Amino acid sequence: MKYLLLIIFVLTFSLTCMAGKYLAFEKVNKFLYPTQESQKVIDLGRDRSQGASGDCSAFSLSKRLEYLCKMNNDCELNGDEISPLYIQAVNDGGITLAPEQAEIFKILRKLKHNENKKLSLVKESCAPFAQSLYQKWINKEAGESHHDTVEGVRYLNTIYQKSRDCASCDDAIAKQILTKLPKLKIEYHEIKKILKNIDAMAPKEFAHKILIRDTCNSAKNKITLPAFKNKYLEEKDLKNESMLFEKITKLIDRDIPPAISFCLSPRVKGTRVCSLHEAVVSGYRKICNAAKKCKSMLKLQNSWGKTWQDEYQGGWVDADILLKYSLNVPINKKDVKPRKRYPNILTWIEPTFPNKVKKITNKKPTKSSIKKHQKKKVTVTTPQDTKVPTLSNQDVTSKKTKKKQTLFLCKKGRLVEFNSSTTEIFELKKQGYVCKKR
Amino acid sequence: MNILLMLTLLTISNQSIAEDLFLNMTGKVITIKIRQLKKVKVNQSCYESKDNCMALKALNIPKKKSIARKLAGHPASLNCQRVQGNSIILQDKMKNEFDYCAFSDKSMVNSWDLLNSSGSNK
Repeated sequence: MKYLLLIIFVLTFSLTCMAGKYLAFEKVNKFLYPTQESQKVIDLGRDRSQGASGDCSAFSLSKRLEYLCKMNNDCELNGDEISPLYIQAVNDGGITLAPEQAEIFKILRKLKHNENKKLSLVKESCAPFAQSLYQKWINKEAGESHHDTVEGVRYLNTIYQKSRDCASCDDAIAKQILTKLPKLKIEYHEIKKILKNIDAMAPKEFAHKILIRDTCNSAKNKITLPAFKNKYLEEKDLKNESMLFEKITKLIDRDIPPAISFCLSPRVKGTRVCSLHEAVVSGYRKICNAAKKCKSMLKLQNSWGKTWQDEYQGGWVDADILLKYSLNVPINKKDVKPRKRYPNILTWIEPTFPNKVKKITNKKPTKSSIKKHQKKKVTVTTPQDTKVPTLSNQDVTSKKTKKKQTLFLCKKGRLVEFNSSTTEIFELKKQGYVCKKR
Repeated sequence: MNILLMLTLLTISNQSIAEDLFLNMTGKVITIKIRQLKKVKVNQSCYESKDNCMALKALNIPKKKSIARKLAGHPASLNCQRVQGNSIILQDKMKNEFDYCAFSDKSMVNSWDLLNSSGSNK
């Protein structure tokens, strides 16, 4: 018994001591708050890393736009993603996208709209973030080369000047670029063409052209997003942490993951500027202890890789602390001053397309409504399989017995889900399932 | 007592956990075996060399007080650069990304482990 108590004490103490290493991030000891009162989480896919580049806003925007796409039946990602590098390159700041520089409204305006006034963005497969990796050295013996995640774009800036100073060096420079940035998708002759016209370009434009090839602007390399509006929380709604938390929970309840920006460190002396960061809020939960003392937590989809996500048990941080450093700039360990209200403390992408799936999911299916849909007799098939597997009534019933009640059905020739998150339907689509009329 | 034994076993087993991560190179994928050593994740070559790899030596470089900057990059990657390493991104089978700090002797350490224990091994 003594040992057991000792272990519990040590465990509790060690978990309590695991305070966040950054002001805005603090873990909450699960042992002290064992009861969960509410939870809602949006699945935003794989954990990505921005490396040493300051592109948090580009990653946050790409994640949110991807989710918007997943929410709409007409937008197909087909396992691809939206390229943060493209978003970053479109921005005037070009190279880095810090929250206060990333005036999201400007970026979205700059991103080219197609004829239908819909936003078209380059796919990650055409402009992968890894392209900006700079090769610092090669270990020939091991056949390995090592890259740095930030030096690449800096390198392109130095090359820009070099090329302008030496008109006859194009061949050598093109080869050098391909050696130093081995993950570039652009080809030698394309680089030479860009170098030929370098005098007419600004350094940022040069980097953009090298990283985002012309071919990336073709329809097959782009994702056309459904109609949406970019929104932000106005200053009058940013009075305190609880107002901000309430807004976040309301958005997540509507399946809209917002982006939040916050201070990571104390202010720069004499200013109201701090090291800013931005991440997507993908969930919230309320946990309580036996004495009914409750804590609110927010789940962040950060762009700091999976190790960070795991360290915070999936990205869960104390909401009070995060929101405090979102609205305020820390002066020292105790004192804060209100942060300059950039319009991007809380931003979100508001879908303006009619969300048929959402309308259905908001309702709990009644017996009669299930029967009504079952009458349509749904068949779900894979394109390769000519022997059509049928989603019969029995299948529907068996799915209902699971924790989450999910019913898939075909509506106007499209596979839609009856009652669940959009993730499963997306997964089915990814697996090649299609609807077939009986 | 049994619990204590179980915890000891768990701790020991954690020390030898190995996992495969992948480095996507142009046209090929390199598999990197990751092992746990002294509470930090390192690649196989560093694990075998024990204290002699640059990745583990970097753990002893004292931490610098972070300077507030307008632009907040990725702290673990920035720290990797500070200790003369190369910040690289590895992927697991699910394509989740992990930050590692690579050194010229081919040794690698998880950038977050490096950041969290910088200077603490002294």
